[in-house]
Amino acid sequence: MFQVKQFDDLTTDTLYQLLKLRVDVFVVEQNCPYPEVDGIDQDCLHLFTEEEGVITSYCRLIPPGVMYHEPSIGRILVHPDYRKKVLGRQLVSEAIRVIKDEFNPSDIKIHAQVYLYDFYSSFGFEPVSEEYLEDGILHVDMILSNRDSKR
Amino acid sequence: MSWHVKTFQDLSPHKWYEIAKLRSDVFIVEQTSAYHEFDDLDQQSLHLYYEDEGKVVSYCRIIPEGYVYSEATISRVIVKKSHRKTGLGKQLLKRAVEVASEADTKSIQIQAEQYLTEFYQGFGFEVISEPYLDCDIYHVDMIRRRKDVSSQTI
Repeated sequence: MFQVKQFDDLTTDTLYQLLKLRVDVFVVEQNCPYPEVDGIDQDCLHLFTEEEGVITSYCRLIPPGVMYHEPSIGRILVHPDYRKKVLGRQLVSEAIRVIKDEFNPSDIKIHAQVYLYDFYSSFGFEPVSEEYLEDGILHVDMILSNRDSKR
Repeated sequence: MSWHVKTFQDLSPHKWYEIAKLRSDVFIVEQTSAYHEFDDLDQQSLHLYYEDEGKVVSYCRIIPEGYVYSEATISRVIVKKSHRKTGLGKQLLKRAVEVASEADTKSIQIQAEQYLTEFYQGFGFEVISEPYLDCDIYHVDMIRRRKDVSSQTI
């Protein structure tokens, strides 16, 4: 169900769909004219689900050292027509699994929108910053510690 | 330093990403406009761009006739900030008009940002609408008629 691709394994068509969906959600839906296409996607893994040619959920997995010292999950979205099911939860679970598998990190750090605090907490993420405004949207940094389960 | 005209299918993911980033930086961020930058018309368009040291610094797309207007149209016209005031915009438009008009045999219609009206008039476009707001930016529709129905020259 989930596909994970390096940037170089994406076709131009799939890349188009991913960027379009990101702009539709994070720029238009959230009314936020920010640098959505930020130049680090070439370094990321791209995790998504597809149904009949439509990308239904997506996030990018940012390797350690690119954004934070820790690996990170960004641009987490579910296509507007596929929300209120369990896709978002499955997506984040899979993202955590792939990151642990690929990077074997001590921690995963994310830059969470505050209104999704409870959602991320339910995966074990804990806040490590005060709430702050970025691009007009309240964010909080959160960390999922993997230290206890590490052998 | 070179000009390129490519179909969407001929663009590599890396080149498309570079173009997408430039468009997002200019039309979303610089113009503070939270709009649908990627509108699914790119797959049918020609992409005209100029590279300086391997990087795209000037760009526009040419949408064939029948998609937005009955005429072909030129849109997403960009010169990267670092390369403005160098005459690149004029070179870009001259080439775009050549391609879109199929060597002056066809008309071109565009939706121009109003502050650029004179720039486009310099290429033979004439205003055919009142100014109107689209995405909070004033626009006018302009047309460049094909040569056999107009004596206008570039």
